[in-house]
Amino acid sequence: MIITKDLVKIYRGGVKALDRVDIRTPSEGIISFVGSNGAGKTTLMRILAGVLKPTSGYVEVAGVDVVREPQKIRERTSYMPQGSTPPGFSTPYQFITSYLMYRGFSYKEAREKALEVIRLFELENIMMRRCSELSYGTQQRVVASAVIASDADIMILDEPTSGLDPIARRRFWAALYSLKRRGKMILITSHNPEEIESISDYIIVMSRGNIVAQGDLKNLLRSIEFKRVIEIYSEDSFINIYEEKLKTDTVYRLRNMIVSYYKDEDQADKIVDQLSRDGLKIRIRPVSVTDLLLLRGDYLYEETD
Amino acid sequence: MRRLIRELRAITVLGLFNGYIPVKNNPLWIISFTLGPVSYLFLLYMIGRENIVEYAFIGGLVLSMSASAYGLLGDIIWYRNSLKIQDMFIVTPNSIYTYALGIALSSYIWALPSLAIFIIIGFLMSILRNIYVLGVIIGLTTILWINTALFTLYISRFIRSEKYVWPLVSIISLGLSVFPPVYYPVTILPRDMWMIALIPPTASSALLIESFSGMIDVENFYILYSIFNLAVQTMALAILHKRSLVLSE
Repeated sequence: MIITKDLVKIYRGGVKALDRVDIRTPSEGIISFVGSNGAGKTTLMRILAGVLKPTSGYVEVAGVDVVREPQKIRERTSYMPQGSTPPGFSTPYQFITSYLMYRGFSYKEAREKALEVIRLFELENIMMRRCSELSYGTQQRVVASAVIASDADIMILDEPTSGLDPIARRRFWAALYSLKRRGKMILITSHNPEEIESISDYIIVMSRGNIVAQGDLKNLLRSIEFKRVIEIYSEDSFINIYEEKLKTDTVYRLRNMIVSYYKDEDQADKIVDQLSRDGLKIRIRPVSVTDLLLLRGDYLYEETD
Repeated sequence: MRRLIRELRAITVLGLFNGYIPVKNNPLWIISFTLGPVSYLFLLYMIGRENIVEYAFIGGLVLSMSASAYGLLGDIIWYRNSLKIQDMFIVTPNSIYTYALGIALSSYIWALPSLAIFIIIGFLMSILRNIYVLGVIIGLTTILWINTALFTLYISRFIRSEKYVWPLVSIISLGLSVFPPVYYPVTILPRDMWMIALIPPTASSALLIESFSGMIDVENFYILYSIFNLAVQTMALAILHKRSLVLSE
């Protein structure tokens, strides 16, 4: 279980990354943190991992007071920092094996575990190539493999799938599921709504250092009063002229995209029909948790794939 | 006890990972790293012949060790800022000190081929005359490594941007190994300057090696001063380093 109370982090220079954050999550399963860039996700992950000191407030992870006993939480945790890659001089096999041995595995165990995750993430063909020769996505897979192979009770993964292709991403989700079944607590940050909704047991939506919403997927979606979302894309700088045709008050304009929300699904379908005749590029979709960022958060919403 | 063994093993694993694997995967690194100190030795031998070759030998040993330990700065910032895997190694069952010592050990491993070459040259040129002098050299270069590695680990926390790292490494490494009395004996400086000239740990180490191997003859005061200087600096850096290794703010 993660509990935070009035958690505040102000960096030197006065940047407030977290502002009185209160969280209470289940004790196991996959807990996702979603939010636009600068929402404070990475700061929160680093505090939960025991590597960053909060300015004030209480943090508890799996029964451990993280501020008082950071080493206790670090012992039970493995952490994949955002954008982390292995050193170019090593091979994936050397990196994963060395990381596992550093954590205390014997050479034999480390070797077996490394080969297991290498097979799982289909890294066999490149396991003896230098990491500097690999693509960014593959390098990320190598780091994620090492963290997953660590078998720690708590795994903190900060945007682990941002550089992965769709197939590698699904393999990664499958690996997380199998860890979850073994009773691990997995904390993950992501920008991908599909990822968040398909793997998470508990979702925390963050915006500008605050918690906008938290709960399981069902309850979060239920808390949104809208059912459908229409997105209009246009390079036309006068994109706002279409706003009148949308017939709803809940409209957000993001660069060359308009996002509008509807409670009535039939009404949304009719509007899509009308707008399609104007030759616009339109997408209609059900509401997702990332819509909470727009509806309750701010305009720093990120366009996701 | 089990924990200590685990931590010592982790230090060795990280030391070998960052110190041995790069060299194993690309042996050119050994030549690249060793060439600097050896080329100084060659140059001084060609110009000064036997007169100053002994000092060039000591200078080469000290530069090999200190350049490697100061070069650690690049690795620390690279792991922290570019690769972003420092936190990955800190969030483990090992303490933060284990990470710091593992990275520091890698710099010692980096320096080993260069030290070995110098020791062989020393025996071939009859500068190293017995095992006692060899022991003194190994002991003093190890103390120098601890001192310079602690200094590097300490200053790394103040460096935020990678663009300062490599120029700084060169400035510190050459500034503390070539200008102070490392490649030349302190005795050629005016006596009034000796105490100041011996402040850099590289100069104190060089004086002790020169003195114990019988190359120079200085009063006991300067030997004790050099030992005291190395000890105080190393302890002060260890205390500063311990204080800096709390949770990052």
